Amino acid sequence: MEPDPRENENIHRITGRGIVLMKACMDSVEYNDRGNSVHMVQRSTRSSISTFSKSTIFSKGKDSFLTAYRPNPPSVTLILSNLQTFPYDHPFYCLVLLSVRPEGCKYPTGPIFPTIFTIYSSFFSIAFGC
Amino acid sequence: MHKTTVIKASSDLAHKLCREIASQIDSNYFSKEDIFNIKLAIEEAMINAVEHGNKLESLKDIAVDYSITSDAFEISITDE
Repeated sequence: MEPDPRENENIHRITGRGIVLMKACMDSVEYNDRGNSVHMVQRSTRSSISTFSKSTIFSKGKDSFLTAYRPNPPSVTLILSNLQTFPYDHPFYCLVLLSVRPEGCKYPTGPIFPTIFTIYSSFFSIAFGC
Repeated sequence: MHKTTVIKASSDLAHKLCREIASQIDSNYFSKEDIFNIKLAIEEAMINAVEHGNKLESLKDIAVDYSITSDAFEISITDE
């Protein structure tokens, strides 16, 4: 095993820096047992923020009143409520952010008070795919 | 897209293959920073394979297996 070049006693050694660099650049860097094969993965940061999965928590008829949005890969779940303040053809949606639950947490965290915000409907369509 | 290729252990061939792989990464899905990070990491891994793995012996092979999707870039680089 290569000595860790970040340790004080190795700071002037030039070996092993490449692996640290590769690990800093990629999401995953793994060597096989023989050490002659490296497997690296880099996930796309652009696609990870552009896809959301949507699931309806509460609905009445065709209308969704409480919806959960979850980015892919999952990092957080946003619970949003549609206030239905505006008619459907209005260019703005009025939503209330009720809860944010980071992935892996058992209980939802903040905001304590619902946050009301309006977003332009075409942006809503692009951002959330609905 | 998934590709497997084998090159001889030469720095020139390794650099050429790195450029070829990087040119296939779609900037619609990967940010400039993603692509820069991938280029840097694969160049480093290829040079390690040429210089340390195959000890600059140009008759030895380096196998490169990579896949590019809209979600992720994956690569395996294996020397002898």
